[in-house]
Amino acid sequence: MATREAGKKMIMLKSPDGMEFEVEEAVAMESQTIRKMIEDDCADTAILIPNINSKILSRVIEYCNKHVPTTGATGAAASDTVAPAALAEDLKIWDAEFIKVNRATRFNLIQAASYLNIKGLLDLTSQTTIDTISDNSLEEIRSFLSTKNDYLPEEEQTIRRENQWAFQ
Amino acid sequence: MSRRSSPAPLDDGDLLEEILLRLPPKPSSLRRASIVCRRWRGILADRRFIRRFRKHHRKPPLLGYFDRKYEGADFTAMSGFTANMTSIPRLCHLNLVDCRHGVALFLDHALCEILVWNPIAGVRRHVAFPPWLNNRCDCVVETSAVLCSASDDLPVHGDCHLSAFKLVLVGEYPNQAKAFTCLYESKSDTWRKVITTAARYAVYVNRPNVLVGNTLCWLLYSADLLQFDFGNQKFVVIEKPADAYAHVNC
Repeated sequence: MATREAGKKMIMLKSPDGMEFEVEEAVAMESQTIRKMIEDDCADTAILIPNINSKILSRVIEYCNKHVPTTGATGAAASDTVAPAALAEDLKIWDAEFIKVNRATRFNLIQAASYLNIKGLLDLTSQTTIDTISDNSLEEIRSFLSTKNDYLPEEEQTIRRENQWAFQ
Repeated sequence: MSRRSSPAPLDDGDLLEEILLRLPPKPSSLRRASIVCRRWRGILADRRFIRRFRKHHRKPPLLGYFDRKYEGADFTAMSGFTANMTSIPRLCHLNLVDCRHGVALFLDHALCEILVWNPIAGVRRHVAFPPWLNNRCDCVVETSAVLCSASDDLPVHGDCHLSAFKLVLVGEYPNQAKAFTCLYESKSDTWRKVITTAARYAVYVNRPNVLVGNTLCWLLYSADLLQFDFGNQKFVVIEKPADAYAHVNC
């Protein structure tokens, strides 16, 4: 949870299970959905984030905290003083650790990133899912994503035959 | 791999689409993934998804290249793609002039036709030069360009059989210092009326054309540009600035 810092505007985010998170406005605005609410003056008090439980919301806030462009005392962006490449590398390592979560949490994070419109988090969670399944067999993909093969055997054969090269 | 049943993941089509958008941009990706289930196939074959997929990955994979030999040419497939051997055009009399939207275009001066090849689908279409060009000695076909489905899409699952493409034929009247162009639309299988413009130099065919919005551009030997806007059918030469040093090899 965020703590109040002098001179920084804070926003209260509420999860449906009753938890409240006080975050800097700049951190909350990493979400384009929340940004729009703030810009439209719909965020006077607390903002209720529907469908995202406190466990996931706290992870999302953790992500936004890390990814928000930070400003120092002089107002200069941290990226002005730290080499951009080093900053990007640091974020990459942090992201890789952040996404080491179980399947259920990852899917919940995808849903949260989509609803809150946080592009970086949506990229990270979706890409990790694709990377997980890309090298697996069709059966493993279906199992991982709880998807049933609803093709008739002859239909599947036709598709395979028409695109034979893709299955070699 | 976990077989736990919760949570019901990705029942939301929009989220599933977000994930599938990140499939690697290999030629086989979408086709392989299509076989997971009907729902996936529905998303992956959708034109709107294809447009998003292309935009997300930006650079399309190289399907292969032609290696010109003394007689003919060999096609070498790349990016894990394997072309249907019988569909590969033999280049003895063919001239590869354009590649765009997943389609390659060849001119066959001997047969007076254009060959359109979709390597992924293994489909070819032959389009005869416009009838007014038959037995003409005063004009020369120089090059051609291909656009698929009004340039906003390429023929993938839904359009494997080259049902919607446009061809732009370009040539010159050497003795009249004029260039001509003619637009073909596959939907109606017709060539439109020829359009001409004053042009003192021929098209420099070693450079591919460039598509900018609705406009196709070719470099002329003079380093000026020949432009055809297929939206408003405007065909003009854009001269380079008088004081600019420009040469076709620059």
